[in-house]
Amino acid sequence: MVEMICLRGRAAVVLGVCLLLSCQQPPRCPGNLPVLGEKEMRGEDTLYHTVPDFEFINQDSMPVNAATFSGKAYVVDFFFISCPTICPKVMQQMLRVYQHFQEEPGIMFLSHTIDVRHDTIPRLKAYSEGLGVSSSKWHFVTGEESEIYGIADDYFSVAVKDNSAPGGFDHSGRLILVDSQRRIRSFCDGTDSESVDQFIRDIDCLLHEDH
Amino acid sequence: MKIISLLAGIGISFCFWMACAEPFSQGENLYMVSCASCHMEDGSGLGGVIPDLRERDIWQFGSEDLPCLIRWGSVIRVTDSLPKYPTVMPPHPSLTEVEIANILNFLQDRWGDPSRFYTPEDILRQLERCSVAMDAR
Ligand code: HEC
Repeated sequence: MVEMICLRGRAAVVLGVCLLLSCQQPPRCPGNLPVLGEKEMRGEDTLYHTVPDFEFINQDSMPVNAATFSGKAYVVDFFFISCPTICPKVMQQMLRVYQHFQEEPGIMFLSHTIDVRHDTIPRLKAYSEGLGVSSSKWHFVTGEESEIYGIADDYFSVAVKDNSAPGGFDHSGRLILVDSQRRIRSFCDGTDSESVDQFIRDIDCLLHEDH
Repeated sequence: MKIISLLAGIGISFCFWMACAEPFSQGENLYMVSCASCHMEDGSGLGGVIPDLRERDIWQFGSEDLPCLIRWGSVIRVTDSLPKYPTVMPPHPSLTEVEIANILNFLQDRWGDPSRFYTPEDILRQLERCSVAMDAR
């Protein structure tokens, strides 16, 4: 009888430890996230597509470039303030992702306006303040229109290589995940909250990958 | 016989249930098509960027200008101070007064004061008042 109790007690301890461990463990990640885009073999090394250099300016009139995200992963989207169609929905989802990782230092956010004429720096500032987000974690940027459109093509053409209709990115509400080495690792449809749920799990996995 | 009346009873109550479930279905459809992209399907809006329509204050105090706001958009709101939201509401010139009444009654029923509702005549009267004001500008 005493033995039984001991056994049960031990089982409970084992169970408890397992539960504790599983809480600390990263979400179920079947291996590392894939790296999206063209690969090139150079000798032993695989070269992956990386996001090219960029230079934008954010809601605090501060420059934002690759160095801003150095050592961190970041989530990218494109929007414009007066957009009556899908942008508010996509922003709502982007905000959800931001709130989920608010306390996580390894991830940042980058929203580009595609309406540089109307979305001035003060308006971007008011917009980000309206969302109540921190400008050190989430940059709302403007810049040269051609540079914004160019980098959008780059993010999307890599993310969705097989998409037969890559053009018209302003109609796509995609969120794109870039790792600390500027490689594209995941994307989702920001108008579809289930797709965003999976994206959040992908970010969790990326943050738990060992490099 | 009993079975037939039972079935009929079920059928009738089903019809009632359907009718009661969505008393403002045209308003709801119009809302989903014209408004939900900004205010969201559940009315929650977007942070401090697009207003949350579930806030009761809107429905209790400001509802006199709502038909005009829907028809003309934010320009109708003459504000001396800085605008409260960093985005604007666009005009909806093609919505008729019946459609505006249906949308507002759907919203009133869901988030406002269900005992208050608009007739198309109310809407027309209010719209006339604000078109005079808009013309005068
Ligand atoms: C492009 C996005 C957009 C669309 C589409 C839109 N709204 Fe709005 N709505 C706003 C914004 C922004 C405001 C705040 C405007 C202001 O105060 O100037 C607003 C304000 C309102 C308000 C008043 C809320 C308050 O706090 O005073 C109501 C009610 C409202 N909208 C209902 C609607 C309805 C009904 C529709 C569909 C016919 C609609 N909106 C379509 C963006 C939108």
